[in-house]
Amino acid sequence: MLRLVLSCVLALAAGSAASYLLLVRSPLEHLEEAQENHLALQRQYIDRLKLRPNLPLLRAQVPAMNDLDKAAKIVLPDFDGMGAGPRDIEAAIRAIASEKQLTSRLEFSTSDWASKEFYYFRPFSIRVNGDFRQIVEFLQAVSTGSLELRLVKTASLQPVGERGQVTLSLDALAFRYREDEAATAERKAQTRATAKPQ
Amino acid sequence: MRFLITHRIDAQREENRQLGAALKDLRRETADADALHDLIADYLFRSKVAKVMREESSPAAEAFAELSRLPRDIVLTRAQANGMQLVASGVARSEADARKMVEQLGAMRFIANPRIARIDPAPGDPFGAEARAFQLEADLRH
Repeated sequence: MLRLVLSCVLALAAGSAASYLLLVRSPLEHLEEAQENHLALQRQYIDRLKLRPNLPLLRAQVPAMNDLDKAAKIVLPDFDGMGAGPRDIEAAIRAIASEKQLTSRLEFSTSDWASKEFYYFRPFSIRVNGDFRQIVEFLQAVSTGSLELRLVKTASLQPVGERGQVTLSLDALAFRYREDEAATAERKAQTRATAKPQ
Repeated sequence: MRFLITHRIDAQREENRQLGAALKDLRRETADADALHDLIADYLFRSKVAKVMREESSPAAEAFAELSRLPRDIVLTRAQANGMQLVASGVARSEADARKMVEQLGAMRFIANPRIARIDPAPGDPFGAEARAFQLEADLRH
């Protein structure tokens, strides 16, 4: 008798497990998935909702931010292709030399753009003679005094010929901003994460 | 049992659909915030790159301008700014003048930690018998 009862219980348990697996498990998983989606949507909704009260303030900041961004783009312009740049850089350097009345022949050479994580850079070299004062003013104008970002690696001065005349040899870098999609998306995600209201 | 669960799933999915639609509207309404955040991201990263590069750039022009303020007892024959290091060579009227030059350079804005790396007699120099040829080293700062 006991054996019969045990068999029945076992059969019932096996039947329940089988019907759970066949009939209930899959819908339960779908339900859990739908509930998780709901939580994710809810979080996104709440984050978005927190932005709404600040919208007028944010909109008021847009013109000022546009101006700042425009200025930053003058300092570090967008990269506009491997072929672009050498003539622009050379023309800008020659214009400064002319402005500083450096009448001697200016030697300019440059090589190709190379890239780092967030920027492209192009090495360039200059060699020019002139009066010490003019040369120092020229060096300042092409480096720290330049609106566009340039990095001086080495600069050397040596007296030449007449009194007060020197030769400047300069090795420097010009830069362009790297706007790759992946890097941009990462930057934007970081900014949004830090700007998210608490 | 299965019917109850299926019913619950349908209800949850409908709720999700409504919430999704509301979220879409809210996203559209707050799109200006996204645009501003993108603008801020662009500005911050561009400025950060520029700042790092500016700090790495040698303030050579400023350092050379400071060297030009040395007294007439010092004649420089070469000056080179290599990154944030400065090396200059020249002739001083005397060793005391060379030491005085180091003191003067130590008080300057863009030149720091000046030191004489080498100093030797400079026989036959127009400065006279006491003339010294020297090599100066210093750090540069912004």
